[in-house]
Amino acid sequence: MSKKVDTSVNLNGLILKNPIMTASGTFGFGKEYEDFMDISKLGAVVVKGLTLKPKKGNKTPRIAETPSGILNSIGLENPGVEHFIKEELSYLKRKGMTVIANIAGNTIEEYCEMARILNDTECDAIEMNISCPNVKKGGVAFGTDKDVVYKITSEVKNNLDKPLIVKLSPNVTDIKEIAKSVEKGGADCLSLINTLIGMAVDIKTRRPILKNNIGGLSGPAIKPVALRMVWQVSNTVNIPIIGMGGITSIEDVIEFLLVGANAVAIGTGNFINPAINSELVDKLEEYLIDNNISNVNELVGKIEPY
Amino acid sequence: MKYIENCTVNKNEKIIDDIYRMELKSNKIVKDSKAGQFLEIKVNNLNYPLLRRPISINEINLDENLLVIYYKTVGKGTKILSQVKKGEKLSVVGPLGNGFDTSYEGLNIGIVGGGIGIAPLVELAKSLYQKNNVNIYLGFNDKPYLINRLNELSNIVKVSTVSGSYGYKGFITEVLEKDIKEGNLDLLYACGPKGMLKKIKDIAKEFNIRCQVSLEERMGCGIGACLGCSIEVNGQMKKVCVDGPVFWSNEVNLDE
Repeated sequence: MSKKVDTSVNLNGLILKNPIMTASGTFGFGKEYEDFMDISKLGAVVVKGLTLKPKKGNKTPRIAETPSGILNSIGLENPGVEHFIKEELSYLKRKGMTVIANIAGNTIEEYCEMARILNDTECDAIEMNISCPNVKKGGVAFGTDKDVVYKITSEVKNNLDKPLIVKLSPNVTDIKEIAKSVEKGGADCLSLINTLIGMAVDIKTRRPILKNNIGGLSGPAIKPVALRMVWQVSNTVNIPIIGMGGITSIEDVIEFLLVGANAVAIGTGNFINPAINSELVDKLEEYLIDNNISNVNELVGKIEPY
Repeated sequence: MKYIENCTVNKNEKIIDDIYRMELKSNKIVKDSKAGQFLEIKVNNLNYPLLRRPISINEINLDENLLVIYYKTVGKGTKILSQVKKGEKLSVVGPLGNGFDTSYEGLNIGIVGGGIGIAPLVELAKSLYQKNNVNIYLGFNDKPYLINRLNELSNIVKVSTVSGSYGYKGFITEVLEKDIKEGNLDLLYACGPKGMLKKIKDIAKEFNIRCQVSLEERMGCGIGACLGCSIEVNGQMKKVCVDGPVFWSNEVNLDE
């Protein structure tokens, strides 16, 4: 079949062949999904959040199912940035994939050091997680204060020639303010939303289900919040947006594009249907053909609000 | 190779109380499955319940292309599963996990199961029986099940119930320990509640017997991506869903 439609997107210099990406922490390092699909079809793969040193994560139970969602408190278990570069990155690059490394740190200096290390590798961009709700020292404190957000964004950007994506926390009073600080700090792109902080309770034991007591909520349950935030942020900043939060269907993808996302990431959906990412690549093309849209970018931000 | 397959339900029946048995028609998953592996089953096509349910394989029937599972209705998902009718289709991902290592011959083997953990022991016994002397130990709270099937696949089956309604009154680990003291078991396999596995781990250590334990843990994806089911093995973080669910008892940390 000859391709009749243009699905490529330009995220401020980072060109993707289509806007379908994986959300960090839900796709491992890609290999986990290879039995189910050709992962090289995807617009980009965003790998599991990396820290400077390997991390064991939180105690189990780390997962609790909630109505149309999951609470998790994994706590950034990962083999460390050096392991990723040595063992995982070149494998994905040999497949011709666009690889985005997601990084998390405890201090601004740690973020900068990881940026410097990854700058000399063949990864295509960096997504900075300043919003992990499950790590006590870092995470949220960085993502919720607009002055700190500005400082960390600009300092990391100074250590990086590759595109910088900053992932926003929804657990803030005004996400527009944070987004503006990220833009002012020089980020190339925004991604949102990370998980919403929540809790699940076992009434028999009268204890929280998660050993960490609280965790991050993801899945279809959070989609309306994510759509609202992407819409508000897209009306506030001029840098591109990767929208995510509860996407499980092509209709969900179109909704995110309409409210202003230039690309989308699928997270929890991967756990329910391990082939969803490649299915959505095909379905997006079908949707564009069926609706006589020649270029996917024509959909971006085309919602007509009241 | 792992697959996503739409499997037709061939049978779904109550065995006792909250234990059900289901047969799934499978063309792909069944061919790659082995003892100790599990399936991730979506109980409906809705977003609620959202996640698949991890359920171990009870029997692999290659003649009729059937996968048999036993499951216990513990929450909303398994209750919905128990209502599914013959002829309906379920989305199944599998086979998942490493399965038991059954590459042994001429050994005196003890297989220990408790509660719903007995389910995967049928396919295990099938792969060990006749090449080895297979002794099976089953522990129940009150009502036993799968005894007849396991009798066909072993040299002897010993049963205990906590209530005393059938077999030895008490825990099956007490029967196992007594037998080990009196005779010789070369290798153990175990699947059941964590408390039972801990006890068997201790017994295996005390009598210096190698032991494979199959673990249960809350899972998000079942394929090694979400890291919800991590566990410490030899000081390293491993995933129950892909590195397990079967581990050597002396290597896995069951205390967390």
